[in-house]
Amino acid sequence: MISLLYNSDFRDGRGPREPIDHLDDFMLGKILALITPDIRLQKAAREVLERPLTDPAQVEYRREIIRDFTARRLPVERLAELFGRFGDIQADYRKEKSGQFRLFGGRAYPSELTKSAAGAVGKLIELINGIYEIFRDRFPRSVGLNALKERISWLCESPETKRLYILAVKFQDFSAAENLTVTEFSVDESGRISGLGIISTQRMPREQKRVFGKKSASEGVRAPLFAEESGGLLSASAQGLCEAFELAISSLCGEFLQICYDLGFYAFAVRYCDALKNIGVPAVYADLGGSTDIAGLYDLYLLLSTPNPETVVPNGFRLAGGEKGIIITGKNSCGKTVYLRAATLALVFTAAGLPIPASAAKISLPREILLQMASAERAYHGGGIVGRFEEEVTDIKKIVVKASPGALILLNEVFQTTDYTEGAEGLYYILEHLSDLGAKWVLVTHLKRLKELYGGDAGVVKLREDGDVKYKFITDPG
Amino acid sequence: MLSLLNLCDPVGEIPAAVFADVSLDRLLSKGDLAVLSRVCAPEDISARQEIFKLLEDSAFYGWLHGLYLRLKNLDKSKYLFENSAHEVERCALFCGCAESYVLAVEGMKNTYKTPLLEALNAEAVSREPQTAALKEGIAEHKKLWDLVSNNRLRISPDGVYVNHAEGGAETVEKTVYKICERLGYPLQEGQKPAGTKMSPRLAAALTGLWGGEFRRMAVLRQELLPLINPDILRLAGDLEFYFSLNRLRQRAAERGAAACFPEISAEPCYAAHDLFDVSLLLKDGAKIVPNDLDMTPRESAFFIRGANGGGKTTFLRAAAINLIMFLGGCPVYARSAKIYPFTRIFTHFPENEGFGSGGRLENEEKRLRDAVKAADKNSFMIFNETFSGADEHRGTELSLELMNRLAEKGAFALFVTHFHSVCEGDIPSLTTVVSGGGNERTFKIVRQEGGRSSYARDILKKHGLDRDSLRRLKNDKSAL
Repeated sequence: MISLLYNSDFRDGRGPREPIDHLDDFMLGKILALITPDIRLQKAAREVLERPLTDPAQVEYRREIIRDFTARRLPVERLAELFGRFGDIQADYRKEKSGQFRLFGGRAYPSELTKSAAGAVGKLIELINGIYEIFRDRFPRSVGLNALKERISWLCESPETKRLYILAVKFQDFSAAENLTVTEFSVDESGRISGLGIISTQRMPREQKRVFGKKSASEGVRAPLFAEESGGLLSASAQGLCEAFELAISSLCGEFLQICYDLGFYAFAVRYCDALKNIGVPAVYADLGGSTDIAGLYDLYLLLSTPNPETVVPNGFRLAGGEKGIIITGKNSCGKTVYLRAATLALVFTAAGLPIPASAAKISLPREILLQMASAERAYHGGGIVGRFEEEVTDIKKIVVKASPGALILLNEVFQTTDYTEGAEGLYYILEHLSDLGAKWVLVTHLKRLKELYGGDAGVVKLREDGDVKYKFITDPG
Repeated sequence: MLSLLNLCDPVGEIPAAVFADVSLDRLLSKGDLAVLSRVCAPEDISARQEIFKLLEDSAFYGWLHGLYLRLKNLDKSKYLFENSAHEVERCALFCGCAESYVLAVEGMKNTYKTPLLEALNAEAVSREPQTAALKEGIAEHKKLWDLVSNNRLRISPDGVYVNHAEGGAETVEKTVYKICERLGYPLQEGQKPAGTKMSPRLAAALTGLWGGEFRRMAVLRQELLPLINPDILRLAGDLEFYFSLNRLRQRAAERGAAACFPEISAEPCYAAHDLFDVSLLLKDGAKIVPNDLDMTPRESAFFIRGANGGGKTTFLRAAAINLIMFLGGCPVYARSAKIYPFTRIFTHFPENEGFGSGGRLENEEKRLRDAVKAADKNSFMIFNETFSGADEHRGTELSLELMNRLAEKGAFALFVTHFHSVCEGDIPSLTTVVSGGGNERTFKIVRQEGGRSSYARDILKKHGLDRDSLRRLKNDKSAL
């Protein structure tokens, strides 16, 4: 099955990962709303952003598709709308089916349902033809869109699809009351009728009805059945055909419905790229490598929410391969949290395949991104059973348990709801444990003791606010 | 009579009240209790023990379970055949019934050298001529059935006509499935839909269409039916007993409790090592504590005394249930045991424990009088808090008198009582063991003659995030 979000290697191997927690603490929800008011697109984008990729090939797979939609202007929204119709047709058929069940007291008449199922199959084939029309004169370069175009073209041109369409059209007019239906059946080992299926059916002309009244011996033995018995046989025959049409409906919709959700993400991506372009900041696709070095990185939330985006101050963010982590300190309101947010979002957006607002970027994709916002800045809803510090400890415990080699942990002002010395010491051992594990971390903190503890450790980068330029951060020589 | 349970007649009967008193009615089905209520002769005890021992072997279990399934299948197909609605159903179901019978008889054949299984094999061999004739008849019947089973229907508002199938035609649904498959949507293997019941009118039309074939099948049926002897169906009930008791043994084994096959003693005795009450399996998490029991003709009666909730009644139940199991040829829940095949079991439990009738002193005395009169060296009697309606002096007197009489008669008896003065008599006592200054029950029954850290560090430690815990976590991960 084709996916526009994951290439076949990924689909065959690992499944989607667990979503990142606490991204809304970094204003993700508001950022999505600022980019597009369309809730459906916001939802599609969130689904993707919360599950960052770790494989550069997967990221490149999405980037190619984004370029097809942005640079080559394939009509992403029109495609999303058309692929969305697979769901509509399936939902309409289900509605009709349940309506019949309701109407006839929990029993449906398969001959009627067969007509509806045949109608739905016909509509689906017409829809595929419609999508083919859009792709026919367009030539995407991405692997994903090309695979989709190929599949749609093949389906349209296949003689089997045409045969299915002819059958669907024929059975849209199936009428039990006016048709002559020939079926075959066998009697199973329990004496029950099995394998009852329609061989042929044809509408009886009025004049022919009279002829049927006088049967010759070659017609077989007349079974003196009640009307409901012959209706039952007809229903049982139609049942199998209805199920066959249902297989066609569920298969076609199953294959293409997900594409509509995938296209929701790309429709968002197009709007995001347009938004960055309108603001006038550079948007780059980061090189994916062994260390992280971003120059001129802007905070996305500030860019989108400020009336004067030109006032937003860019910063650099660097975390080399051999470094354990970064400690960011500074006075209140000097932009520490904004700095952390900008870096976090740059990583998350890159791992989703999107460009970032920076002048140049090289990013090492973390194997896992784990976030924690301090209790001071997060609303805790623990129900008052434990204190704020203990709630924080519980959250950090989850991170420690989840962390694995190659993970990146971003922490904002944690352990400041207890004695600072004890908090710093406790945090120090936790950070050391994470480093031993092979994870990296970025920490915004007021805990001076922590800086002392890491004073002689060259593997830990210490950043502080630049005294001269507001909201700028520089390396603290200590 | 064909049986997998008995070689000879039962030697006694256990009243239903006994099963209720010892909670076996909550542990086993009515069918199992009906089998257990007939006390086995020693030959039957060892014959059943042989089968239970064999059930531990998976190959034997597979064979026996296969036979059981064949018998159940025969039962079902026979029922369906006997209740067929019309000639087409009768013809279709007869084949199934006759085939299941042949399979069941063939499934009885075995090479195991135990008395009950040898008898089963002999029965299967004696029926070989009938099954051979049946097989021939079934083959002919099947040929005829294959002819008549495929048909064509023409359904129109004008009427329904049934005719011979023409062959070669493909149904529209199959065409659609094939198209779907070529488009890349194969049909997933699902459950085969159940067929539609055929109406008697359509069946009549079919028999009209295939008159000669149906007539021949009816004649064949008349010839073959007398060869099917359904008496083998009773074996299914016998097998259910073995499987049910075997499941109980497995459940006990899952809880770490051992079962054994006791030695049959020629002299009256009840000696068991690590005996336990299997009905405790009904209580999730109940602690199972085994105990020893040693009763001989010299010491055939015991009082059991001790603290409330100390396990006296459980011990009593353990003794009774395991005796019943032994007399039914079933596994006994003990590490090892040697038991005399008693022929009579009597229990008396007071009403407040919900198992007996009466409870008032007069009623008790009347009921006990009859029981004691009938008691002999083949009797095993169990009393739980009997005479609790009397004052201590009178109760002690009655209890001693009862036990002395039973001991004189050579009957075996266990008597749970709170009358402590009974220990002054000649009847030996067993008591519950308590420890911890009398507060802690061990459920054993034995014979008896007469510097603080700060808040943050505490919380971190509690969640395993302090320095030492993290170091351990690191070491654990490294070890992995």
